Formats: sequence, C-alpha cells, structure tokens
Amino acid sequence: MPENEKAKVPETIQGAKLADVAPIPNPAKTKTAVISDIIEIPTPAKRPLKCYAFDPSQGTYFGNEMTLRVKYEKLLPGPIGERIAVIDYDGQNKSFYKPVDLDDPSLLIGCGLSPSQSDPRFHQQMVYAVVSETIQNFEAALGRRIRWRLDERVPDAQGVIARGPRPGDIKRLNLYPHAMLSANAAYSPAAKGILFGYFRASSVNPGRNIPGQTVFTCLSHDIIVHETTHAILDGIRTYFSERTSPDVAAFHEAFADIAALFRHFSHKEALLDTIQKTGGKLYQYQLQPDALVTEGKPTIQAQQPKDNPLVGLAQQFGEARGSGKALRSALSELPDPKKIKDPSLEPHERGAILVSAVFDAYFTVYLRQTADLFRVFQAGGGNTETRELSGPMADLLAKAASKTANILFKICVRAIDYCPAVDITFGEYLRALITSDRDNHPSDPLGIRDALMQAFRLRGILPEDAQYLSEDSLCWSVLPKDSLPVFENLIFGDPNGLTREEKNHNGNLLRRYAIANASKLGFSDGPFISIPSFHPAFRLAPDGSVRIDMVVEMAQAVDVPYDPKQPDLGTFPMRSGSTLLISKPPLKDGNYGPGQIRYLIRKRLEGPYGERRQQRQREFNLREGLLEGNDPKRFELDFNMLHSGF
Amino acid sequence: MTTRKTTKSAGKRKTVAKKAPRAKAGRAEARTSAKGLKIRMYRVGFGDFFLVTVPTRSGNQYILIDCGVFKGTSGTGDIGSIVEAVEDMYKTTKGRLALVIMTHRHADHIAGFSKAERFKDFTAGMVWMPYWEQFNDAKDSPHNLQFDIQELAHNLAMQFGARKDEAAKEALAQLANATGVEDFSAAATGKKKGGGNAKALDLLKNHLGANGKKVRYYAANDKPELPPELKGLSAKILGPPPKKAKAFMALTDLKKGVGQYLDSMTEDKDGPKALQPFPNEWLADLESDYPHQEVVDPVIDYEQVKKNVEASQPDMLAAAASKIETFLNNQSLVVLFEFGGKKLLFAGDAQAGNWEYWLYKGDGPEKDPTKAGAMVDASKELLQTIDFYKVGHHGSTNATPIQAVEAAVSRAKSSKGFVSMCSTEYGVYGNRDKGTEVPRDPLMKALGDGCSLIRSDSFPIDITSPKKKTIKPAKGVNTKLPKPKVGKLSKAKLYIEYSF
Repeated sequence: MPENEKAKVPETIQGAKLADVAPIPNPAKTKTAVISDIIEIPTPAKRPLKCYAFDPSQGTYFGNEMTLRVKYEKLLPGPIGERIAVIDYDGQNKSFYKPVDLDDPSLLIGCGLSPSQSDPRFHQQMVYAVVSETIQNFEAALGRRIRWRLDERVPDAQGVIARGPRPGDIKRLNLYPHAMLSANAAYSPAAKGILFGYFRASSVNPGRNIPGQTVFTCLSHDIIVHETTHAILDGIRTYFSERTSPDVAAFHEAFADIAALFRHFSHKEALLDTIQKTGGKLYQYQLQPDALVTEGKPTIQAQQPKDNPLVGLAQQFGEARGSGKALRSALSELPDPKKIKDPSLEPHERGAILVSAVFDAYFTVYLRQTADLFRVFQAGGGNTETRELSGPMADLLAKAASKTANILFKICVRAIDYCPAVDITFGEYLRALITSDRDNHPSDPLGIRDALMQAFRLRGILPEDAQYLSEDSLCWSVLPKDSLPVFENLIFGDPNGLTREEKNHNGNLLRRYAIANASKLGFSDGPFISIPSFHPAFRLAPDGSVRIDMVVEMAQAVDVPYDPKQPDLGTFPMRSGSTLLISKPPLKDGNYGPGQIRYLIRKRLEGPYGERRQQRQREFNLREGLLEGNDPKRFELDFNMLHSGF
Repeated sequence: MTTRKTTKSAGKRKTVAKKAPRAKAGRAEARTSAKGLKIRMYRVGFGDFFLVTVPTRSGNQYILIDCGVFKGTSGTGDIGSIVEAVEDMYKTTKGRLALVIMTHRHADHIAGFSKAERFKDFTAGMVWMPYWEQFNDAKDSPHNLQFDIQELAHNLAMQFGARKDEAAKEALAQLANATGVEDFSAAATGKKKGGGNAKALDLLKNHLGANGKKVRYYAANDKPELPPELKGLSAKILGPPPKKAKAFMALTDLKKGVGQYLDSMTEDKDGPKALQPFPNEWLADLESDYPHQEVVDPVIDYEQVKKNVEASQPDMLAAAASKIETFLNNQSLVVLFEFGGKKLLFAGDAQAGNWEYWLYKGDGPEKDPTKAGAMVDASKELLQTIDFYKVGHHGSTNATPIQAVEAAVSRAKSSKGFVSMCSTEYGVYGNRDKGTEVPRDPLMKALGDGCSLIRSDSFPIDITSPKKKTIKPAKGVNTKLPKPKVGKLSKAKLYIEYSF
C-alpha cells in the first residue's frame, strides 16, 4: 500500500494549498472536485449476488437461479466482511482455494459470478450471500442486531470478571465452504464458524445426481440457512446448546429447519409454480406433472410427478445419500400425540414433530386467509380441482402465502426472546409463541394463535404446567407491578446496538440486581449468577409506535450428584435460569420512567418442579451415556456429530 | 414336564448331598433349597467366563455363560490363562454342558471358543444366543445384520491404517473386539477375513449347537426353553429389547454414514486418499491470494483457522467404531435364573439402551410426568431380591446404571445381601483422569459397600503359557475374599467360586 499513500498525500496538501492561497480558483480546474465534494456518490444499500434458489440438482427449473440483494458492505477477497468471513480452507486436503473478490468491478457489474458447481469462487459467493440474507431476516424479525456466541463471563479465582475479549468469543463468523469430506455441514463454536462438507453421491441411487459426483453442501440454500440459524440461535441463547433433555437438541434442529423452510415461501417463482401445480393447495407433498399421463406409465419427463419443493428440505443432499427424496420435509409427520413421548427419538426425528406443528399452523392460516378468494374464484366459474388457476388468482394466492409465511416466521423468531434461558422444552416454546404474539399483536384476526395451539395439541406437545389449552392459560403471566424492584438506570440504547460503555454499565447493573433479588428471580443465594446476554429489542407495535424491551438471560449453575446417596459417582451441572423482559415505559411528563420487568420466565432447581427436572435430567444422562467420564464438554451439543445429517 | 409324586428320592441326590440329607425337598420344578448351586468366575483377563453348577436331582449340571478374553486398548487384557481355564472346566464338567449361553458376539465373550481346541470335545444340551444373532444367515440374505456389522468393522479398521492417535487406538480395539481380528494389517494381507469371532461362532452354532438344531435365539419377554437335564431351574429373559424397526434403521443409518465416508476415499499407491473436490489450479497461495491478516479488522489468524478446521474434522471412523461397540453390547442376552429360591442375574455387557427396556419399560415415558425417570416397581423389586449379580461390561459406568445399583443395594436391614462378581482386568481400558477407567472406581466402591463384590483381578494367577509368570492382582483391590451372609466364597488356582 505505500505507493497509494504516497500518491494520496501530495494531493491533499495541494488541495489545502489551493484553498488557502487562491480564494478564487480557476473554474476549469476545480469543477470536478467541487461536484464530487458536494454530491457524494451514495453508498449503495444493497449488493446483488447470484445464487441457487434451492440447489444445483434443481437445474434451471422455475428460476432456480436467483439474485439475492444483501446489505452492502466493503469486502476483501474471501469474501471477508465485518461480521462474516468466507475462508476456503479444506481440512481434508489441507489446502486453501482461491478466494473470490466480490469488489472486483467486473463482478460488481454482473451481480457476482453465475452459478457453477465447478468454480469454488461461486461457492464462496453463494455462502456469503445466503448467510447475509439469513442474518438480515433474523434482524428484521428480532428488531435488533444479532451477535455471535460469546464465552460465558465467569469470575476468576479472585472473584473478578475480567474485561475484554475471551478466547471463545466469536467476533466474526467464519464460513468454510469446503471444510471437510463428509456428507454433513455443521456449525462449530470451536472452529468459530460453519463447516460445510462435500462428498460423493451414492453410486447406487443418487437421484438427480450423477452416481459418484461430488456434492457440495455449501451449494444448498437450505443447508446454509439451517446452519446459520444454529449459529444465530447459539448467539441469542447460550444454553440451548447444552444437552439437558431430548428436547434441547431437537429444538435447535427444528428451529433451524423452520427458518430454512419459511424462506422457501418468499421465493416468488417457486411459489407461483407450486400454486399452479397444486391448484393452490400448497401443502400437497407432490406436484402434478406438467403433462398428463394419457395411458400407462409416464414416457417423457414432463409426465413425471415432482415433489413439492416448498415443503422439502435439502433435495439434492437427500437424493445424493440414496434416499430418493428430500432430506426432511415440513409435513413428514402424521399428527400422533403419542410419538412425542418416546424418549429414544433421534433429535431430528423429534424436531420434525415441532416443524410439522408449525407448518400445520401455517397452512391452516393460509387456507383461512384465502378461503374467500377461493369462494369468489369458484363463484366466477373457476375450478380449483384442475391446475388451471388464472394468473391473477395465482398471484393473489402467492401474495397471501408469502405474507403469512413472513408473519409466522417472525412469530417463531420473536418467541425466542420469550423462552426460558435454560433447558428449553417444546411445550415452553409453545407458551413463548403464544405470549410473544399476544404481546406484539393483541388482536389476532387471522387466528394464528389458535392454529398454533391446535397444531401443537394434535402432536401431543403440551406445556407441563398449564391448566388449559387456552391463550390465557398458555401465556406466561405478566409480572405484577412491585413484585420486583424497577431498574432505575438501565440504558436501552439505540437500535444499532449498545456502546461498549453502555454494555459495561448495564452488565454491572444487572449483576448487582441479580444478587440482590436472587431468590425472587428463581436462584439460590450464593453461587454466581451469570448474565450471558442482554439485548435491547426495538419493535414496531401495531399502532405504529416503537416498543422497546430489554431481553435478559440469567443463569446459575449447581453441581448435582448423579445419585444423591452416592455423591462419589460424580456430578453433572444443572442450571436454573430466568429470562427477564424489561420494558422501557413510554415518555411521561418529559421523562422516561424506570425499566420495569414485564415477564419473568423462571426455570428453577428447587421445589417439586425442580425435583422433577433433576430426575428427568438424570434419566436423560443415563440414556445418552453421559455418565461416562468427567469431561464437561460432553454436555455440549456437538452439531457435527449430531446424526450424520446436517 | 411331569410333576414328581415322590418327594424323597435319596438316590437322585447323591452328588449334592455331602452332609445330612435335606429334610424336605420341593416339587421337582421349584426347589426350596439352593444348596450346591455354584457360580464360578475364571480369571482370564479382560473377558467373561462363568460356569454355573446346578445341583439337579439327576446330579450336577453345568451352564457355561460366555468364554472370552480380549487384549483391549492397552494390549494387556489377555493374560494367557483361558486355554488352561477351559481345560479346568473340562475336568469339572467331563465335557458335558447342559446349557451354553453366548450373551453377545464380542471377542471378550467368545474368544475362548476359538482359542481352546478342547471345545471340540464338549457337547451341549442347548445353546442360547441373543435374538439378533439369527440375522446372520448368509452374505446376500436380507437378514445379514451381523454379517454387515462384521464387514463394516473390517472396512473401518482398514481405513485407520496409519493413524496412531488415542482415538484411533481405542476405535481399533473396539473393532478388533467386534471381529476377533487381533491384527488388522496381518488380516489384510492374509486370505482369511473372518477373524477369531467367526471361528468361535461357528463352533457355538455348528458344533455345540448341532448345526443350529440346538440353538435358540431370545429377546426380552420370550419364554426360554431349558434342556430337560436342568429340571428345577427356571429362567427369564430380560434383554435384549425385542426387535424394533428402529434398531435396524439405526444400523442402516450407520452403514450409510460410514459408507459415504468410505465411498469418498480412493485407493492410492500410498494407501487410501481423500477425494479432491477441485483441480490443482484452484489451490490458493495464502500469501498472495488472501488478504494479509493485518488488513483485516479484526485480524484473521490463518494458522489458527487451519488448526480449528482440522480439529473439527468429524472423526467418522471413531464414531462409527463406538457405535458398533454399543450396538453389539446392547444385543446382550440378559438372563435371570432362579433355583431353589435363589435368583442369579447375568447381564452380559448390556448398556443403557438394553437396561432401559426392562428397568423403565423403556418404550415410552410414564404418562405421569412426576414419575419420569422412576424405575418400574417390578424391576426395583427384582433388583432388591437378586442373590447374585454378574456385573455388566466389566465394571464400566455405562453398563450398570446407577439407579440399578442404588435399587439393588438399598435393601431392608434384615436382608441377606447379595454377591456380585465382576470379571475384569485393571488398566486395559479408559483413563482414570478422564473418569473413564474400567472398572470404574466409584461404581466398584458403591457396589462393594452394598454387597459382597469380588473382582476377577483381585487374586494372583500363575500362567504357564506362553511363558511362566505370575499375574499380580490389581493395585488397591481387596485381595481377601469377602464373607457373604449366605453361602461362601472360595478360591482355586484359576477361579473364584461362590457356593450356596
């Protein structure tokens, strides 16, 4: 860079001289300088980048190539940006691949490289684009900037909590598009990023792949979104990656699948195509073929029925592994209230129950919302039994489907802020869903909450301690005023985040508060209470006002013996945790009042409920073989080993 | 079965009655006294070799439960006494075994059948094997479950080739235990692929089991068939869990996962080589192609990146090996014998998934969430009334659930207690610092506090082959035999025996 600097320096000096020495400059000489000074070229808001809408196996079918418009930032070759960096290191072959420079003018003008399986630079571009898009979607839903996982701030031997970064902090998430030879992709806190694998397609039944071809998980839009969601969730909820019950790992998986599946419904071409081929019944597992089979078996490809791409997840991956179908599906599960009770379900299987509950609710709301459209359409002589939906009708349906998907996705994401801090169960997630939606949208004209409750009920997902299956009973109760002190000086800050000083201030304040009110907050006196996260959230209320909340996680770890009568046999860490929603009251008499806890969602270790939790966790540890050894790492969710899927 | 009318028949009891003849005897099926019932644990190293003497009316009958040994991770598991121990058993039994039980097909439970030529002279009334063992028909049959495992284990072991790390060592040991192949590199060059386990299984099924005619396969809740000579003894099968599609699915998944990995390797003259996804032209020069780490804020430490990615490579091989290990252990046949009012529990190497089935009626959790994790009353009662327990999986934590120990040792003060035998060899597996040592100290302590526990490695043993030496007892182990409240323990050159 020295060359450039040299070139720059004299220019500025010259400019200064001109201004000082010659008050009336030569117009011909200064014209360009003046214009560029006054009318600055605006920084672009978005950077268009091409990528696959699904994965390479879909070919160019209904616009499988799409252009994502992601938030613009200056990029170094990699691409390396502020919060994510693509570093193409192959751990199996121990080599780096050439990085793409997305700021190269010829790529800037062409929306990046065109989709290609054989050019690793396109792979890097796609991973960058899709991860950026996912972050954007989550930030829009949460109403705040997300951050990645940070190490827990625990006091050292002297009881002091050291300032500054910790070794495990993830400042920037690294994305490794070709990290490993494995039919797998995984978010790994240890590698501070996401590892994407590549592998050979099955030689026997590779679906639409060539037998033995190399399949890249980093080219599957679904897989990228899924893994990014793991990373985002891990940043929001530190202890959701601690294995404490069968639900925890399953929840991580289900949530990641939900995020990946809802994204499908924002894809207009795919949506329109599916609506046409299902007569508007988006939830059908198979699409009608383009051409009808007149007699016997299909003879041309247009007569082959295709799977509905909207409800299937990771088509190419699933096919390449020889299953002949998508890896997972939004609606693979028939509602069976007994299945959830089986403790031996593998996390993805268990997660699939939650996924299908959410999508059951989604399709129910979609049908409710479009019922009138169908009525009008039929009254006008339209036939919904055939695929021949008129263009405008299909368009309206697509809009409704995409809008509903957006709403449901937001509900699912916002509910995270209303979940307990530790040991999440599906039933508690339902409570969080209902509470958060009622909190944000008191009136529910689409009947979303009812649809969710019924869908969960049909699958036997019920909160342990709710009395009735009704909104009132499922909602966490609002904390009565005066039951806990207010927060006098809590800084809610700015939607773009808190400054370092503000964070330190809030951290200290919250820690002091936790100690002073330990038992009311659901903790025992004595052991350290950590504050793994506090996030201000800015959300638009239905009346157009901005609602400001601070979401705080608190947790306390206690070592519990495997067997209270045989403490020598070892212990396992159990946590009590609480989520606090502190709201900033509206302006009154020219002042803001103190922050008030609206919701306190506790998960205790004491009392009959706590005992039950302990017992459950013991049993879980036994089943999972977590009794062996004393390595605390064994309780952490290993996304890489979690099944051979992703 | 016919019920005997006569209650006294002195002549039939001659082998048992050394002292005064019993005043009364029960009906033929249900004996009221267990006098003369013996359980013998041979010290063979890391492996199970148990001989039960059943004093039936027609004389002593013998049940052999497993006969195996394995060198383990340390390579010291096989102390070299098994052939001699089989000879000893031949002398005791005159080569006639009423029943042979193979709990599962791990070398540490069956190697003796291939190592000791003497087995050719044995005959058996019946052979029991776990349910899963029948899915081993032939190469191309759909029921070739066990064959698949064998094949998978072999392929995996080959891939480990040059690896020398701890995880690889452990995984190789697990695979060797599963196949009975002690040296995979030698097996690769040789023609034979079967390994010691194949030979042992052949002997069990074809020689002792008379080409399958005398072989019975059982899973939990099956009513087992006892050979007629064991009249008076009853048996209950508690494990393995009965066939569930899920278990098969798990194996199919495993095969797919491992298969994918194996598919992606290509054979090179230097051994297996990984698939390279892009031609060499795409390889980057870190210095010139990537932004210098100083330019990036926050900086990127590329060396650290390399380390992180390499450390995160999934150890598919090790994971698969350990899955196979658990899969086989959980096939273990768990048998409860009852004779003369005494209950003997032999748990094989059953791990959580197997125990869970009968301990918690594991098909689903309790409807009442307050009872989640609670043991089924019947199982609790059973554990509190057993008189003998064969410690599962050589004393590792994963094989004797703490709740089970807890239930077994928490008995009424008036209880006569029970005896546990743990066949194990110290220092063969695991690491004390990591809390994974086998046998696990705290478990041994908990059991030892609650019952009379004897370990097979608690007494010295003189070995003559391959060379003369004395194998010492494990350090810190009580070498004195405990005094059980019922019956007595005695020591011989090669074994410890518990007699009622």
